[in-house]
Amino acid sequence: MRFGETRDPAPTTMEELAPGGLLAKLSRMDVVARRAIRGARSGERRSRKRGGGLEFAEHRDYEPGDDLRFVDWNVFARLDRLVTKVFIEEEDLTVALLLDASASMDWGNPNKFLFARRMALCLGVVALRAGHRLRVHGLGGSCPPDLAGLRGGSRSLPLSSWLLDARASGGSDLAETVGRVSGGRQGRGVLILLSDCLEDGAADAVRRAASSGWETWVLRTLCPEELDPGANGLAGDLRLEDVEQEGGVEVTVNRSLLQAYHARLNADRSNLESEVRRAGGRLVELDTSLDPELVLFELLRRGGLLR
Amino acid sequence: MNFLSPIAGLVLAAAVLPPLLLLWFLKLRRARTPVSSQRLWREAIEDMRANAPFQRLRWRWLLVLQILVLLLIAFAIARPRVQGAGESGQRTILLIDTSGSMRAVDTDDGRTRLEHAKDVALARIDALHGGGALFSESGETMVLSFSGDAVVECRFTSSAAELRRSIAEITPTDQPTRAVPALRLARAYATNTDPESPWPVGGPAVIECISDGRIPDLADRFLEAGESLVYHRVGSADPKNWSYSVFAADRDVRDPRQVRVLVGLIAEGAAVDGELVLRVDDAVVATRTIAAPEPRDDAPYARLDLVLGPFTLDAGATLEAEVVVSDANPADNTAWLELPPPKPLRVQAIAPVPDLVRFGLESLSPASFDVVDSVEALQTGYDFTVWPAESLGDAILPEGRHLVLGGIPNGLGIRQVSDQTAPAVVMAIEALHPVMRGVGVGRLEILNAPTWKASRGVTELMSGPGGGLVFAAEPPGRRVVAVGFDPMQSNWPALPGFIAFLANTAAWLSEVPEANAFEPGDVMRLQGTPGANAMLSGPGLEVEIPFDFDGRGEFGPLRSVGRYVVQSPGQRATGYAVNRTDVEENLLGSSEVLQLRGTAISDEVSGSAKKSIRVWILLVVLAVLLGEWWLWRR
Repeated sequence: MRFGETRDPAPTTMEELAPGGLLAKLSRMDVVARRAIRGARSGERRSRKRGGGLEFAEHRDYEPGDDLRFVDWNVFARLDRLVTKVFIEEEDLTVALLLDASASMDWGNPNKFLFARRMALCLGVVALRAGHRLRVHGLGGSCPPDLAGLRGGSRSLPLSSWLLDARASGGSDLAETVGRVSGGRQGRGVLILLSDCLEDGAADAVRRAASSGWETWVLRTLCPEELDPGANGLAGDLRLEDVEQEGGVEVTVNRSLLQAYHARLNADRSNLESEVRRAGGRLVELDTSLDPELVLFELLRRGGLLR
Repeated sequence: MNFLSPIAGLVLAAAVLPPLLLLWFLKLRRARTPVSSQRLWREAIEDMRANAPFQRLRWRWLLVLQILVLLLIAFAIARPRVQGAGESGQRTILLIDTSGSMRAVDTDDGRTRLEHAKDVALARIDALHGGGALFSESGETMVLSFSGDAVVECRFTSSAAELRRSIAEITPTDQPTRAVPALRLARAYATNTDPESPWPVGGPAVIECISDGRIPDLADRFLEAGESLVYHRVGSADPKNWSYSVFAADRDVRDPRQVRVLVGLIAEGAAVDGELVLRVDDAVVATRTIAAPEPRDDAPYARLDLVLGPFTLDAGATLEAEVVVSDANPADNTAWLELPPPKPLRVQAIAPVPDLVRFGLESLSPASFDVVDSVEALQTGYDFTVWPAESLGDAILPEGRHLVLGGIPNGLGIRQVSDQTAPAVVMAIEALHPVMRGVGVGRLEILNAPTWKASRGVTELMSGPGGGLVFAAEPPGRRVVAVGFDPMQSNWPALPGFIAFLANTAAWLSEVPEANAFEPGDVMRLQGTPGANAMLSGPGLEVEIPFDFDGRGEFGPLRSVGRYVVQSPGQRATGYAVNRTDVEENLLGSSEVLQLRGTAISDEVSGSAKKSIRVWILLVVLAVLLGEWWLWRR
């Protein structure tokens, strides 16, 4: 078997995509938005929109035209000053899943694309069960048409069908696609990008999403062959050929080169993380060899994406 | 193991290994491996290049095998050979040295070098034609013997019996060692030609030379491209031997019945003391104890010159000198000399003859001293003629022997540098020449001396500041001593050395040198009765010599030293002496290498030759290449 060649069979059912009753274990989880986000309609999520909600937000000076029902008469009695109570209006949360379906994702053992789809299914199911609006977009590859406006736990089926039908191939213009998806007129929320971020432009994509008001999470999915190629059998005089691009690079894989590769990978991690953080997003690196439950219940919960 | 072309192998290795390493880095075949992205790898390589301009050479089996292949090819080009029989189907030419030095006995078994050489040759025949698991196909072998000339003892054959028979029939000679004719002959046979093909067919033969290595004429010969010459050395490098460099006799000019004998001996190595015995007509006339002197300047030999006599010999005689000693080569311990009967000195001169010159010549007590008025009046039957400069003119001296005073005649290869004459003193003399032996010139002063320049072949007996003064020349049919200045314009006639000069000149001009003396390898040319036959007898030899209608007959080349006698019908028997007096030829120390121009071929261990292993190396190369192919495809 060649280096990085996928051994895992392609899943054909939701159970294969999320084996071991994984979805059932997610019933109490929810997607966390760290800050109030303006939604499209009222829902169970705090909104930046002040007004008709039940949760008190703050006081502000009365201005002519304000509804007198919201004047805080207790404050007026104490301070002899008119102030108006402002309430946080509750809206639904939009969760956007962006799945990188470029050819580079369909690689590694365990397969990155399979792992990313598994994570997308779990996160999507969590979002649907929590009553959030869910959007699913494929970046590159040959994916079914985008899913939008999914809401309610019963919509897990179309989500899984979409994920099962998605195929990774070709390249993906990450920044362009993320910019297009995040710049729509639909409500903002949490944007979760599942990608290996091996192409240039990942940080730019995060920046575009953040500037459009999305709370952005980058779940960087890397396989063991990328994290430690030397330990996974890469050695000798090789011509490394990119699965997405023409041409190749001739290398003699020795200890020096592997050290240089690890140094470059670490530098790339640091750069991407600082870029994402600077753009207001968060980056979590996922090793495809990790147990999905560990990822969901530990890494993402501790990272703050889930609760 | 040794190499026939080590330089070629080294040059090849030095030339191909660096390019191989370069090509290895540039054109390494790499396995195509897909990766999710090249980006990190490209950046990693750039980082490495920035930090390390050269990658270290890594241990790779493919590279090691390729280096091994190249080294093996270089090894093969160096033509390594190991002890063994011979190539399958190989053609071999055995050159066996039969020269005089091969008569030497320098081993304890009492056998000559030639007998050892024949043993080596027979062993080679066994090796080449004995068959075997690897070399079952027998090739062809040819046998040549060489000394002064080359003799084909056996043409190419695969018959071991025929080859052995021809080797057994090889006999020794006393001739000098001349390998070039044999090499030329061997090369002619070594080229395998097909009359119907314009190109040589098959590979060249291997030439194997069995000798003591004292082959001077090979030193300026090149080994031709592709030629294989193997040297089998026989004999010791440090023999102890006596031999002759000179054996001559002089009759006194004043009293020709008095004979002095000069014996020059060569002591090679730590030659043991012995005794020299001189016999005249088989009767011992003198004995002398001889001991080897210390050699000079680290020379491999020392000279010992002895003068015996004078002896009174009224008639012609046969002289025999024998070194009685046990040494390496008993065959060169005896020398012979045919001494002609005394001949009274007869001199004629062309007038005017200066009185002092006349007195000097008359003091030699010639049987006759006649003066003629002109060149036209010259008579035959005289030992030499005295020419004054005035009588020379532009004429060339006639055949014969001449003493010229006061000028240089044409045709001697001596030219006058300028017309100017100047006072001169003698700067140097050729003291070893017989004419100048014992001639003192310390007080000689010349009033008017022209300046002469001699060409090659002319001996400058006496030299002044500007050029030669007195010359000795031997153009064909003539022997001339020429004094380039007028003796009467100098104080020379008044000095004692002048008489000695005249006496030496008379002796040199009147002698009959080497008329009956030959060296082995010479052709004996005889004069006899036209149309008649003469009987030639010598050591182990008796042949009939026919004379042509000009009375000329010949025999040779002479193979052995000794005394030869020619008996013509109705005439007295004439003796001839054949001696080895060439110092270089008489030296016996065998050489470790066969020295050719630009190449020194080391000797093989006697008994078997070394076999080229080039074919085996190339087979190994093929095996390595197959291994490499397997690794490549794996």
